[in-house]
Amino acid sequence: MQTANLIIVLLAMVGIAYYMGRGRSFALAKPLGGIRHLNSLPFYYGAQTAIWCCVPSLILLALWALFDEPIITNVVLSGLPEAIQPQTVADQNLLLNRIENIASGALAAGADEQALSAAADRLNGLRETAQWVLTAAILSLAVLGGLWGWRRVSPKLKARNQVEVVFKSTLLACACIAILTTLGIVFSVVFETIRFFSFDEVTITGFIFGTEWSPQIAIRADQAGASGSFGAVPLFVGTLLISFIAMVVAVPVGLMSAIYLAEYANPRVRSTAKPLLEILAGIPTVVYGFFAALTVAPFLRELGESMGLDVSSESALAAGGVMGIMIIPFVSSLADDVITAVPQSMRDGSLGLGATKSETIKKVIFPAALPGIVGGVMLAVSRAIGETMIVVMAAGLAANMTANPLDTVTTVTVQIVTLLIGDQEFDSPKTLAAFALGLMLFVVTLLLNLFALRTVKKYREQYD
Amino acid sequence: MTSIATEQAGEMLISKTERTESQVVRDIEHGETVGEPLMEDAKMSVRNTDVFYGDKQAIFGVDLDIGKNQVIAMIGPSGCGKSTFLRCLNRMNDTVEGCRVSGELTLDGSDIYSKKMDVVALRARIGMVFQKPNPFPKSIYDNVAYGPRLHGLASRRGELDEIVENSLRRASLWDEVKDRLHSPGTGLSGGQQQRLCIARAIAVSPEVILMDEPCSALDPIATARIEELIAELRENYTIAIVTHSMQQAARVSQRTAYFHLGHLVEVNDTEKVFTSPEHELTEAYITGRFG
Ligand SMILES: Nc1ncnc2c1ncn2[C@@H]1O[C@H](COP(=O)(O)OP(=O)(O)OP(=O)(O)O)[C@@H](O)[C@H]1O
Ligand SMILES: [Mg+2]
Repeated sequence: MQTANLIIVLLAMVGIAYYMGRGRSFALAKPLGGIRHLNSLPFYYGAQTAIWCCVPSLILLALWALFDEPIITNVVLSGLPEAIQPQTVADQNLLLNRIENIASGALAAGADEQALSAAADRLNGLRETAQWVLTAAILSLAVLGGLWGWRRVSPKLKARNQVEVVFKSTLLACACIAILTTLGIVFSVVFETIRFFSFDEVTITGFIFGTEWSPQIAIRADQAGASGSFGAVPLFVGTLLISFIAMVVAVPVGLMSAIYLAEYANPRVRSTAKPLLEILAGIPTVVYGFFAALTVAPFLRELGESMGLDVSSESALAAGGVMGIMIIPFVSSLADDVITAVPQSMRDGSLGLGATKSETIKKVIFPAALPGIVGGVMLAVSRAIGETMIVVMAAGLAANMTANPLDTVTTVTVQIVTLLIGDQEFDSPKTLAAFALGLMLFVVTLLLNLFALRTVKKYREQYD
Repeated sequence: MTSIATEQAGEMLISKTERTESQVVRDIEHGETVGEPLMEDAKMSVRNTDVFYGDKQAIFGVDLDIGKNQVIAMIGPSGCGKSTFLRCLNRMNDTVEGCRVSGELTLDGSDIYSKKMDVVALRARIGMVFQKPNPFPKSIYDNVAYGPRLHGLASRRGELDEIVENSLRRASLWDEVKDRLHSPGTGLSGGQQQRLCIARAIAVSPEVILMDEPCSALDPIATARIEELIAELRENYTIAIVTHSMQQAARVSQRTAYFHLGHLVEVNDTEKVFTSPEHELTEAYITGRFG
């Protein structure tokens, strides 16, 4: 039976086990005088039986899936005649691939490859047997488990506690998946970063403090070209410049619109304006990228020219400004939430002392909401630093170290993209530099988030 | 006026036993306030005032005078409109969505609800202490200094310090907090917070103080302190207090107003209300038959 079908059958059996366990608990309860006399509700007895039915079989299925292939291929390989036994890992993979293809019929075995076609037959045979064994094992384990669970049902059995334990473990396992994935990502980036730093051209200090970024290196040994220099400072300066411009746009506009929506707007305006503002957050960043590159940047250039300023066609100002617009709903909706969370009694207290509405906002509501607002702004900063698409389209590639918003700059994320889409070998410093940049970006945003959390904790003003 | 009311009350007393409560309720919808709602030389006067929340009417045609340097207690069953009425007096109802107030309300003879009235200045003259303590999430000092700073009552730091100390002393909180003026006001106990709110209200030297169940969350000791404070404040201020405690009303007030379902049923000297109430509803309430 196919594994998919097997799982469907297993599910059906689990359902049956549930009803049988539940039924047995009812049957047992009857002579005692009702389910009051059971330790747990019938649902828990059913669930307990279902768990016994499915968990052991699922574990077996998982183990099988892990070890099935390696064992079979090992058997097939060891059955090959001495003469064609592979010597290296690469050879072995090639050979296995070939056998695989012959087995699936995609390739015909050559006339001189008797041994291979025999191996292919063997592979097919083994697989078929394995599948049968698996089916039999799973189904009988499910039946046995279900029966065991069913037999265990008794008025004294603490089924509720056991089911709760299983439920808790499932939740824990899910939480672990998220954490382990994060760890996995971090480790793979760290690993590639270490490889990057093991090249002669790069040093850690040179990377972190170097002020020149030109990752072009000679592809062939005889090629005349730059030796490449990997100083990340200009990239971070560019990232910070663009993020700063974005925040200069997003924070005031976002905050003020939040204050308007939360404090002044009547409910009708609020209920239409808030979703409209949040639509801004739903626009794909590529579209913002178009807008920045095709509308805002040329406009700024013309404007600059008419004022006698030298604006490059891909300016930090255009990218940062558009990014700021993209972040507005981020800031405003978080700020709106924290402002509306300030209790009405605070407003009443202030108004009752003869404060005007704006005085109340300035002196009571804003300070009370500040921790939440700071948190929101910090999140927005992380977002701006990590934003890629807009800057790829509108910020340019020149790694200038400048604080002039009219100049063209490049950012960490843009460089990661360009490094990885080049046709370089994967293990060249140029490609691996992307991982080092990614790691550094990760660390920077992590630090920012930690800082934000601490600020929020420190300045949290409590109100009840 | 008084004679009619007495007559009416007398009539009601006769048939008291036979009538159900719903009949009594129908009665008050037509009846006038008994007792002495009006007086000479009032600090605030309220005439023919209705309050609506949307379509729902919460206060029905109330006439009432609030005397200078007096404490008037407002009692009545839950939901009868005491808070609503109190909030009309300093226009706090303006902040409630859909709330509408009609009638004539005056402070020292000038109309509170006229277009020319500056709400902000009005609320500085009529302070309010809320049912639930609501100190700002600021230091104790800043809480008390909030109003004076707002209205520029102190030109120097020293003056401000003086106002703060004075207000805290009068709210009998000074001794407890003088060493931690700069720690947050929200870190105080419930009773201390309520006294802080009272200090905050008197720091701007209002002429009238409205208190909405100021002691509902307090222990007997803190309650006694606040009652002492009210007695002392009366010398300079006019006070309107909402309370659910008859004893408290009897202890602190000179006049008592009894509200029932949005109607002002009876207003009399406190002693009279608690010894020989004129209206049967008042009597029923203070003897604990309902409410
Ligand atoms: N914001 C509001 N919107 C609509 N109706 C309200 C509002 N506030 C109060 N009401 C209604 O007005 C009536 C009077 O309420 P109010 O709060 O004045 O009662 P109260 O006498 O203070 O009661 P309590 O003693 O329980 O505090 C009640 O029926 C209440 O449901
Ligand atoms: Mg109330």
